[in-house]
Amino acid sequence: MSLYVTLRRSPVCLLAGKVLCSICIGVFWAPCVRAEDPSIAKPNIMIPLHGLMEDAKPIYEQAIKDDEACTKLYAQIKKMGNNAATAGKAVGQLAMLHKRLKRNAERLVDFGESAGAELLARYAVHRAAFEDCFNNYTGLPNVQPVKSKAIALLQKNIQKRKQKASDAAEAAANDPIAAEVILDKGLDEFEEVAGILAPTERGPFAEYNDVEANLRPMAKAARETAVNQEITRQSAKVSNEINTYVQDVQKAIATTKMGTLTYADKSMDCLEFADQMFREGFAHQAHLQRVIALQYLVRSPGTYFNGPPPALDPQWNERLHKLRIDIGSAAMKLIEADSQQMPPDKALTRLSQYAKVFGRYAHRTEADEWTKVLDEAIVAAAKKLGAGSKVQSYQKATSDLLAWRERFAAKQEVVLSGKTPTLAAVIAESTKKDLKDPGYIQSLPGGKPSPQFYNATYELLPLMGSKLPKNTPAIVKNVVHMDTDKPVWVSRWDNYIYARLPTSLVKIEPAKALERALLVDETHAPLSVRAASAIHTAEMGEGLVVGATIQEVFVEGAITRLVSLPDIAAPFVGINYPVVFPRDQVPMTASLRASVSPKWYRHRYFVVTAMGN
Amino acid sequence: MLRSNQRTVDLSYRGRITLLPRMLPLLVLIAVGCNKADVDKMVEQVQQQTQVVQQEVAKVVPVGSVQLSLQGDVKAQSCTASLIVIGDGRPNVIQIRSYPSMQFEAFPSIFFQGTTNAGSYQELVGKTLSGEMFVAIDNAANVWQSDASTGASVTFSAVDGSELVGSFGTVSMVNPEGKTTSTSGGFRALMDAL
Repeated sequence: MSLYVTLRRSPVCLLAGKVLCSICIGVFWAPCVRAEDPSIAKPNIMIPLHGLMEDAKPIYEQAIKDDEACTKLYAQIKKMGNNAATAGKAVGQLAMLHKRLKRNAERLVDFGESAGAELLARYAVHRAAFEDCFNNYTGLPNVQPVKSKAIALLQKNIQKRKQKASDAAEAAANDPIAAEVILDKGLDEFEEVAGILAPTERGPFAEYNDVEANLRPMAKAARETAVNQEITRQSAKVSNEINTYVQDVQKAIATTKMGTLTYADKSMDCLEFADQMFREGFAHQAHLQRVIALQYLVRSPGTYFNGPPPALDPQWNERLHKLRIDIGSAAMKLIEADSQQMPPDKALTRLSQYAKVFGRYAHRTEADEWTKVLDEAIVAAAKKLGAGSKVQSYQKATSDLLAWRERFAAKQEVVLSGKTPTLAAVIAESTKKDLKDPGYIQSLPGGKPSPQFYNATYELLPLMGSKLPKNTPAIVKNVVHMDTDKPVWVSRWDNYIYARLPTSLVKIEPAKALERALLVDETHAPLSVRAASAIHTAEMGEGLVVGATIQEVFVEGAITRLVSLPDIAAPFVGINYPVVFPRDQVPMTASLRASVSPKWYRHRYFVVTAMGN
Repeated sequence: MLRSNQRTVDLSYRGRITLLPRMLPLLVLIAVGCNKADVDKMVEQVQQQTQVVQQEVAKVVPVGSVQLSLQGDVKAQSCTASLIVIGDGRPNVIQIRSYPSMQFEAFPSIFFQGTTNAGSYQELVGKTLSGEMFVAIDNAANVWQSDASTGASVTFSAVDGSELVGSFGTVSMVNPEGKTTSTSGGFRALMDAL
């Protein structure tokens, strides 16, 4: 029988803290429109919106309707007979639908939506379908009378179109978005009739050309300005909240007295505060990573496809760095402040409690950054309280053992991995039609390889399905547990590819063995952050390398993934490095999520090979 | 076999003393249904003989070194023992290392760690402790760890000046590929200050 760690170690206060944290800062982010993502099993599902701009929703809904209508109409046209009048009406409608789809897809891209990029790829399919229909249509017998009738109708309505163009031009000065509605209505009506005509035949009816040429850039600039303003608003909100958080933390530590302090007008134990400070800090980290992602959507209005975007504001990356430093130094100051009045006879117990709290979070920094400084802080406090030798002895009694276990586990990982490729490599390979095909994941100038919406996902996913039979093995690195009491593990965001592990992952026995090896029992807690962190990560399943088999692959918009990042996903993006996108292609960039089934995993200090149910 | 008048000892597979031949009569007695007193006596004899052999092994290891038989001879020219007393109610820890500290590690590298209630090196003498053992023959993949289910055992035979003398029982070891072997050997470790 297998035993899993899920809620066993989660103290009630941790859960309560998480709830409180959610109430305080977790729900500020505008809810996004998240739905199911397209997958190998369901390739036709549409990429969901992230919903940064509310105006995107009706455009998205119209575009989905038009996309479906194009597919349906094309199938109908292919089955139609030689009746030129009937076929002409359908071809005209297809002309209107696919052009409207393109306009709306481009608007969604203006709003930074990857759904727009996907719809543009789908539009390309519909355009090819339209061209096929148009060519077939022109070869039908008795087409000319139908065309003549269409030309006559267009001539009859010249004045009406001129009036509409004039109305749109007038509206454009005040509200280019509203003006586009007028223009688009006219264009749709025009296209339904002119869609069966060759360019030379429809050329004379150019009443909308001038207004369209003027209006489109204005409307586009208006959308991009609105996006910029929304990003500025959300960024400022996050910035202010982080400033307040850092100030409040510093103020709270300054009130430390006899093991308690006052935080947000509430008196609490310093240990309770330490945990809350980390949790809130990581929620802010998630917000900051979202803001960093959003910066890539900032545009110079009107130059999206024609000019370079503005330089990235460096302040947000610096803020992430500073937040990490601020949290780490606050933890050190807290233990220093608390140790001033700590009774020496309680010092060991108290310091081990600090190690335990710090151990829940220290592993999230790279290269043991927090582990090292916080262990030093614990030793310094212990020395002041006459317990330095005990703490140092404990650290001596555990450090070599951990180093040896890490060495052995690393070698085991190499053996178990064998020649199995990484998840990113397996997935990248599966997007190539053949050896010459560069595939879906390509390097853009100045960027790392990233998946792009080159093709409609319903074309890509069956290809991936044929290349990725179920249970294809892959190595998944940097598996982390989300900040929730639920059994949710993901691998870290890494070059737009990640894994989700849908079932309980962690086995309890190796964690218990590690605990015993680190001299921890019911009455003796770890006396170092390193040991506490080792036990915590073993119990929660943090920082794992997992040998897995791929069960399913989903396509997401990369920006959609990050903009809709929940607070519990702070470990998903990490605190050390800001998220990065190809500079010019943000909505075009996809993210590929694999659902995988674990076969073995390597914790930093041990390996578990028996992952059967 | 062992040549105790020399400063080195042949611990290759052919020369290694294993418990199996000594255990065979005991196993036969159990199989044919001997009474408990006879079996207990045999167990005691085997344990005593094993301890004697282990002590012999330890005596012939050069000063400040550790030697093992692990698919061939494994000899480290340095050995340190650290009895770590934390003093907060936890058991004390005894480490036998082939290096003074990790930063000065050389290969082959050997590490044993076990817990004990002994508060001094002298109190360890005569005791057999269990724990975890690691051997890295080199800095590549040739690493061994004591089998988690059986662990490793060490018997301390003497404190000789600044040295702690002892031997490893026959330890079942596993490598990263999951292959198993057994090891035994001895050490004369320079004692860290308490």
